[in-house]
Amino acid sequence: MPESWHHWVDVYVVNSWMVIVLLVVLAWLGTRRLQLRPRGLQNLWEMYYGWVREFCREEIGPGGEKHAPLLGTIFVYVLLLNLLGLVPGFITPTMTLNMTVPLALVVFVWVQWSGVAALGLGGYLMHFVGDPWWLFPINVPVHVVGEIAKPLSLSVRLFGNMFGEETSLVQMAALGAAVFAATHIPVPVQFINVALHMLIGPIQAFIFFILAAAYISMATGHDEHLHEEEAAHHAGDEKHVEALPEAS
Amino acid sequence: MQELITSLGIEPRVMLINAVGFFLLLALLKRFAFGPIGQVLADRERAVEADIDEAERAKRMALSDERAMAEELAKLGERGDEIVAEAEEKAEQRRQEILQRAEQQSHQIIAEGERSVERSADEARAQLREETAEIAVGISRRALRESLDEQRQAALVDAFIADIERIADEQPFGSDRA
Repeated sequence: MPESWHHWVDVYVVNSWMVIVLLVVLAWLGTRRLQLRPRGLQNLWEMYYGWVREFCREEIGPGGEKHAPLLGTIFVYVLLLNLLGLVPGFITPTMTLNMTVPLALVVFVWVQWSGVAALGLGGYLMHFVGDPWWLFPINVPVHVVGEIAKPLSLSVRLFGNMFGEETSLVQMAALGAAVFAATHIPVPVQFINVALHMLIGPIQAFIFFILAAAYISMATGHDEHLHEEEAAHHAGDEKHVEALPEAS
Repeated sequence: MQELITSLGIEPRVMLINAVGFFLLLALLKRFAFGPIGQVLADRERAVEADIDEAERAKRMALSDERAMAEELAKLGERGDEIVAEAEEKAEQRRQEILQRAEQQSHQIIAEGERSVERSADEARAQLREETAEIAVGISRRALRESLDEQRQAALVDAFIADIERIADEQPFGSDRA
């Protein structure tokens, strides 16, 4: 690889592009002969996309399924990136900020765009002003910081978890090598970390996915509507209880 | 700041490549997976809805047919009752006609028989009269031809009476009617 390329492509990029190629090939294999009665990989893709669409509908609200392609791509991509480090010869691309920050920024841009599309520019900006409006000198900075904190927390959480997990895995493997060198007994001490990695990888991918959906829901106002509906529902219950005749 | 970025290994150009990679993946998955799969799911949803609608329509039609069939059966039952009643009425009429005709025929037969008996009696009477006359003529001739004594006359009278009885036995109607 030429020296100048290192500013553009590193080993993590190569690994992530392998995941991209793998996913595209799986997608092509699963959908090249689509049938109303699914078989093989088509089943898998249908189950996955059906689940994502349903999740988007429930989490984001009516029309939430239009975000399903983005969120579906994020989950499966981050999941495979997280698990790639378990395959011998590969590393986990999400253990670098160069991977997690772009993903978080994509989510950030998408969230803001969805907010504008759902509420209009005025409604979107009023979202920052908050309620009551005359508290805007406080509300606007707080909301702006909150919005900036979202991609920051998304990227740093994923990076920190995967970096820590990968680092401890390497350290435990080194410890195993040291034990072997000293005792000539092969002790697979890193296996506990491998099992942990298999658990943490999917969990972190799901957290990234679910937070992205929650941010979209908040930006598009569905979250507030849900709270309002819940409040109305509870208020209705209270009125119903008040209307009941008191027991003598 | 630059030191922090360098120590964290942040490289904007690598980030750009990763962002491009993600957008490319998003576009390709949308093209090859989510788009077609979404279409298939929508098609299947439509097909299932169409099947359910069709089943409901068929069910409604079946219920409607069942009602129509029940009405038709009720009409047919009424018509059947009417036909049976008509048939019974006609049969009764026919029976009455047959009885009436049989009675008429029996009366005719009896009348015919009576007329026939009457005729036979008349014929027998006429024949008896004729034969009696012939016998009387024969006796007269015999009496004239022979000279008769008292004893002979008595024998003749007996023979005459015996002839009459014999004829009466041969012609029972004549004797009854006489």
